[in-house]
Amino acid sequence: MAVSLDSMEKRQIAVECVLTNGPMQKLHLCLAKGASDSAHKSISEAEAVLTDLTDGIVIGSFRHEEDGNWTLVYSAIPGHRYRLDINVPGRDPICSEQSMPSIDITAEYYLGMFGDSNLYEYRSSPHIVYRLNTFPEYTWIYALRYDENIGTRVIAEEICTDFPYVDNFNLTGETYSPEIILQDLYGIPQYMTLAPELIGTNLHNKYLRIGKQATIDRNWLILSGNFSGDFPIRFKENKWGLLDNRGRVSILEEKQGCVVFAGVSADYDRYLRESIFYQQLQESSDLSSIYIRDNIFTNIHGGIGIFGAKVEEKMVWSDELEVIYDYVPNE
Amino acid sequence: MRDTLQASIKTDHSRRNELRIDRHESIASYIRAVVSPLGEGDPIRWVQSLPGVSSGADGTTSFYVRGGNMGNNLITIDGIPVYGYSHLLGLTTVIPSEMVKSASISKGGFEGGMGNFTASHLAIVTKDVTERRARTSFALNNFMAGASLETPIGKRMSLQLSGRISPLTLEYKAIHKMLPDALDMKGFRAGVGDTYLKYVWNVGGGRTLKAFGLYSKDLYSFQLSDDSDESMGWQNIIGALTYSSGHTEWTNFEAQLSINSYSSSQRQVKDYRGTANDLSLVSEMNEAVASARWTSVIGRGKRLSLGYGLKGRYATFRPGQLATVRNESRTILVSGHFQACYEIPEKLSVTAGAMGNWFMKLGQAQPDREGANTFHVVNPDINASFLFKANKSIAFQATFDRVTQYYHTLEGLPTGWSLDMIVPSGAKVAPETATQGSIGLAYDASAHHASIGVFYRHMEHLVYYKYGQTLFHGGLAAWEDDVNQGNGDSCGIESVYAYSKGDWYGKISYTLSKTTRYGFPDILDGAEFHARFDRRHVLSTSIMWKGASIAFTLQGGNWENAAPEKYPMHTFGEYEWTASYFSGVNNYRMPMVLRLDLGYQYRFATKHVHHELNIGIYNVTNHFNPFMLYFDTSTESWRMLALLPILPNFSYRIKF
Repeated sequence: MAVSLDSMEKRQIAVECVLTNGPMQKLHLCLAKGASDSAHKSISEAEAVLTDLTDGIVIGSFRHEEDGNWTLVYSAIPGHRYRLDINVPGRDPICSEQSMPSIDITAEYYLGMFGDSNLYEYRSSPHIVYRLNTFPEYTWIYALRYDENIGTRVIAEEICTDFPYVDNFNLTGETYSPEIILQDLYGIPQYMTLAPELIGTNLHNKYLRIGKQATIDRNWLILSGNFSGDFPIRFKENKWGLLDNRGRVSILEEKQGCVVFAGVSADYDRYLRESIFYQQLQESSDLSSIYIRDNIFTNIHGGIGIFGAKVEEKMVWSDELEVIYDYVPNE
Repeated sequence: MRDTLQASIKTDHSRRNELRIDRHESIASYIRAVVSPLGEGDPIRWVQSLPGVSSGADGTTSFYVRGGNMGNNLITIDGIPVYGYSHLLGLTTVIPSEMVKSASISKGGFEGGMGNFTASHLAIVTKDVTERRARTSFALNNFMAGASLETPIGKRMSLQLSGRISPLTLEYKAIHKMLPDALDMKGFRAGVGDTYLKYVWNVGGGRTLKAFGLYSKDLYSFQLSDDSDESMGWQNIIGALTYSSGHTEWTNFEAQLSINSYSSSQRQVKDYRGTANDLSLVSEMNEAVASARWTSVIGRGKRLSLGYGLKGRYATFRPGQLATVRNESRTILVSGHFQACYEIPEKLSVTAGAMGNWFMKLGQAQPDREGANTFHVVNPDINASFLFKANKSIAFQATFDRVTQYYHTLEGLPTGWSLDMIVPSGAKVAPETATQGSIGLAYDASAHHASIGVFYRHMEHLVYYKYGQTLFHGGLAAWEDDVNQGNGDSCGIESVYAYSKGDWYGKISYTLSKTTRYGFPDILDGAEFHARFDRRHVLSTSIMWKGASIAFTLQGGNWENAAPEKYPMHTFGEYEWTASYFSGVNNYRMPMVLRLDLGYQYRFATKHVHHELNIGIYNVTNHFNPFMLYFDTSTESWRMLALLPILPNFSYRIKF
């Protein structure tokens, strides 16, 4: 006999709001779905107010759009602290506070000197080096590539880096092994990659995570992964070797990809890390996983979910081998 | 000659209790008359009908007294603990009913000498051979077939032998062939049996030497879905030597040596999302006990009796998984007790006792490792009972106990896992204690007996395993680091009314109680939650008339872990996933247990043979009373299983 195991307790209010440096803030409100419910119920009646605690001003109230999605036209300010207050009729008040992180990333096109430049220019190996100039609590890095099958950008499945202090919580168990495209006259394999020194490094599942403490000794890294496509790279006009806009992507066309650096708050980082863990469990074929009864981190008082904050920068990346051939040898 | 011997009716005093609220006694004939799925009752079926006692899963022999766990009950056979006392998935007990002389259960005011339990003591006393010639009996019921022999050996010795085996596998195959879809499980196989031996030598001069042996085994395997195999089993091996002497009418002495081995296991092999999973749990406990006790009656009129004694127990524990290395823990418990009872017949009875316990958990093989050092602790137990008879019919009673138990039955096992995981106390896991008190009134006059009482019980250092998943991945190797200890409270009202006159006997018992757990630091941040078998209402009624019996049981549902609430969340790139929220522990109330049973007992004797026939229908209304929960991997959902639908039953015994 089937049994729902529904406790029939009052359903929790789930709140999801992640402040960004974009022009609009989004909030999602719903009632969690009980074991005997067919679906979760969106909340369309509530008062949700965002307050800037640093300046001591009320930013405004979120406006309900549809299906429990609420919006507020506002761009959060890095370094400021915010409070979210939500009142749903018939329920206890809900609140949470969060600090907006900041991030400053630059990318440099760096030409490494490998081999004998007098003879074999294509042995030279350029890099894009990313430098973290400010240190949020945690930095998450992922690559967006255009998927022709789906018709939209998706997060690349695997990514790797040479940064020695990256969190290894999401290793795939594989190592970076790009395709060998040819061999030079000495029989040395040449790889389809801009960063041959990453060959053999551990591949991470979708994300790289770097804590603030890890950047004490070193604040730069190179990265790659099993992703390819149209990743535009622009140099400053008449300044070959210097990336335009310090390597930040200002315009991304529909089918173009990029690398995203996200500085996140401590709460949001904890939520993200646990999300990945529990998502893996949900997909697991380990039967004992059904006995896990841990709750994912929440900083919502009076409800569940997350009030987080992130600042994102889209950065250039390239896997175009032609760059190698653009190298101008020393004379 | 036929003699319709309705002993269960004629000896109506067997059903009547003394004027006590803390203790109940009964004799074998009535115990066997209690309606049961096997056609004849057993001591635990009888206990389950008493006030203050709630049952575990329906149909099984598990019971919970005043908010304690199943493992807090001490069940003894002639003073020897039995840890795995159930047979046939809990439908009956390991001791053959024809070997039982009497049973008594104490819920408070515990008498000295036993110790190492905190909820109740069910003392089963086996009978001795009294007849001057050999007697053989054969018994058959729905699920068990057995034979026994009782014979004197010369003038001073006697021997009792018994063996039982279950034809359950054959019965299942027959039913499955006739009604393929009638049963929820497939591929059922059972290996169930027990043997019992008791040898008595009356040495002379009031001295007796007894040897006792019991072996029981239960092993079951079945499939609840096409891609799953389940199995469970347990085993007892018990042996004891008892020497007793009654020097004079004033003093008695008893010394006992016993060994006891109990093991249980549960295993699930299931295909889950294309991957074979093999999960198992094993619990093993072995003990050797030596004890000596004296009782003396002193004073004019023999009003004062004293009891004192010493007991030493060496036990080993090995929890873990099948086919893996399991760490063994070794413990020593030495207890000395003293008890005094002052009695004015028909007026007053005051009992007070104390037990000093010295407990030691021996260090691991590598003494330099953390936690490896030997741990020892000294705890006192205190018991007191006061009984005042205002007149012949009315008595007032009060009891107080403070008791300690040096092993634990882990709470917090995952849903669907029911074996008793027994682990010892130690440096990181303090012994459990219970402090309880009760007061009540009893009335007994002519055909009527009634009692009502209230109790309160506070428990400390209960053990809860925090990480259900790690149990199956070697977590039990360091289980002490994965448990929380917390408290429990239980309070309630227990009442019973019985009427006995002529051929009629009727009883109704009702218990209203509440049992909670709290104070586990990592479980709901110490907040309160239901005990798993916190049944708010327990009603038990029975009526007997000339061998016919009707029994009705109504119990509030027990508590299991509820399924989580789910809500949508996102990560980078607007990727949506579904998060789970577990709002509590033991927060799903299972359906109530409702059961109506009918039975008829018929005894008659021919020239040389005594016959006893019990027939009946168990669960006449075919109410779905849940037995267990299990996870169906094919549908990825939880399901309930009832063990006992409407079930005609019979038992037939002949003795010659």
